Amino acid sequence: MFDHLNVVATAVFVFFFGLVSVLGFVAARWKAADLDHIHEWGLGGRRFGRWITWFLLGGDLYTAYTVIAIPAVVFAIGAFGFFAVPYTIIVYPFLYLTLPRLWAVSQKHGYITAADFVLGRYGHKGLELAVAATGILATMPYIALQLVGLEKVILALGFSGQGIMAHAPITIAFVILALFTYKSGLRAPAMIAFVKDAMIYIFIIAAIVVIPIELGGFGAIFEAAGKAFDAKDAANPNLAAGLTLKPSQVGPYITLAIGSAMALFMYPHALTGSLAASSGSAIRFNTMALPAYSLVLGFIALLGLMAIAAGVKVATPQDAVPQLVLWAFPDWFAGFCFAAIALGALVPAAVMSIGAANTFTRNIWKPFVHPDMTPQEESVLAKLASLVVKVGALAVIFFMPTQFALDLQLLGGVWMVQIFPAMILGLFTRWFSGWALLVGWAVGMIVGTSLSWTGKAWAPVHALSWDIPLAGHFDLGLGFAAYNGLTAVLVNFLVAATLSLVLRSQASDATSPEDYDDRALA
Amino acid sequence: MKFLLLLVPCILALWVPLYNSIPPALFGIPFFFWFQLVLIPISALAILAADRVGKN
Repeated sequence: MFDHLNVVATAVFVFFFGLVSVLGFVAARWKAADLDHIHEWGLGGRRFGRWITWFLLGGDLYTAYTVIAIPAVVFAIGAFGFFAVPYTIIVYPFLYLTLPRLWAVSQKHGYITAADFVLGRYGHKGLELAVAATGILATMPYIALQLVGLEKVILALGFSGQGIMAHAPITIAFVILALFTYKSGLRAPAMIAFVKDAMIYIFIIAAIVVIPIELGGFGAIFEAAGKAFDAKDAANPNLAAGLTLKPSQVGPYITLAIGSAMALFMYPHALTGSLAASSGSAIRFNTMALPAYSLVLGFIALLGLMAIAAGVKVATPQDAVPQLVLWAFPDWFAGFCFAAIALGALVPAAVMSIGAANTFTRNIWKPFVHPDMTPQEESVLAKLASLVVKVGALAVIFFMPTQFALDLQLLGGVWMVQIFPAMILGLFTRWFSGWALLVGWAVGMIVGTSLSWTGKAWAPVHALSWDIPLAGHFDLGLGFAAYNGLTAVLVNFLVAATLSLVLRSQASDATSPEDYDDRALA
Repeated sequence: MKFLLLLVPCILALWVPLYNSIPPALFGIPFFFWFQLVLIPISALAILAADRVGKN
């Protein structure tokens, strides 16, 4: 089990992991308050200023899975994996316009989840449940994938185990994570994020300087990668590998960027990190400051090409970055980089479990099982739910093939964007009715899921032509394939708009127009 | 003006045919890659400018 263990790298890795675990427990005393209140445990008391929010959201959104998966796609097929860059470019102008409004109305009414807002705005419990269930469903596989990222770096440290022992390191890591999240709530990932993000920046700056020098410059890297893709392309044109996009990839590239950007802040972990901010201007500041992480993400994507040029040997593309790190750096620094990636799994996993736990407590248990919960009971239940969510994610990794988590994560994005109309339109207008949005959501879920099933496997994009039973062949005539999440949310929107025309909303609205202006509240 | 400033980086980022090519390379990096990387700080500056315009 330890025969091939890289002792130096493992020692550095364990040191940083231990340091951060201590921080996670100490965090309970940071900005001290009564953690028996869900508002404090699950949202840090909404007292995170602009820089804490920057570290927290950066650590929360740019996850370990991203650090492994994006360069893996670039390693495998090149240009297409770079869709993460336009995705993270377009998301911030959009957030600048929308997120301060959501923050303001949530602050005013004490909302801690997306579903809280939807219930207040539309007065519709069914829609609240739909939004809550979508968030939890999409978050579970996302947490499981953080474990995959963690497992990849532990594998690269030289750890190999059989059967149940194979998962021993991530189980230990997750138990530690579960305990400090239980104790400290959102304060734990916020405090850990400082260390983790600093380590990721050091890792990437070193990689982007050192590796090109070792490989003879960027010119040599792209030349080697280009040749490798040409060979792959000649062997299998369907793979569409290359340093630029094939014509067939342009539609998917654009629509994946748009759809992913629309989905990102629908996820509970993204909203939890945002609503914990202390002011609307802290959020506005972050729409300008978070692109620094996007730049890091772009560089991380380039690591996939560097791995090709370095000629690293991998079992799967997801091993490209860990193997490149081992190839390029001395053992002690490889251990440092692996610790950075591993901590990059813990911060989002913690926030995701808190976001899902808040949602379960506030929007499923409280309204449907126990309406008279006190804030203390809410806090106790949320803490327990955060444990259950993590055990569930661990079980997925233990008992399901990794592909199952990957497929669910892909579908999770398609599902998550289906709450976009209710959430984002709701920030600006109450013209839509709760029932209409609920039916639109249901149609979007069905359309998105069925588009994604190819008959053999799940795929994120589909040509804009369909064979519909009884209705025959239907073609939009645009001649390109599009991201299923985007196609489905457009159908969702059309259904919601049409039904809203017919079924005018009579339900109450707990919010008023001035609640959405954070500058007026301040 | 504020909305225009927010819109421009989005349009550039999504206008794939504009940058889907290898030349002109910069320090050996194909246009496809460096254009998108450079667009990231530009988009942040555009939001900053939009914020300033919006306040006045």
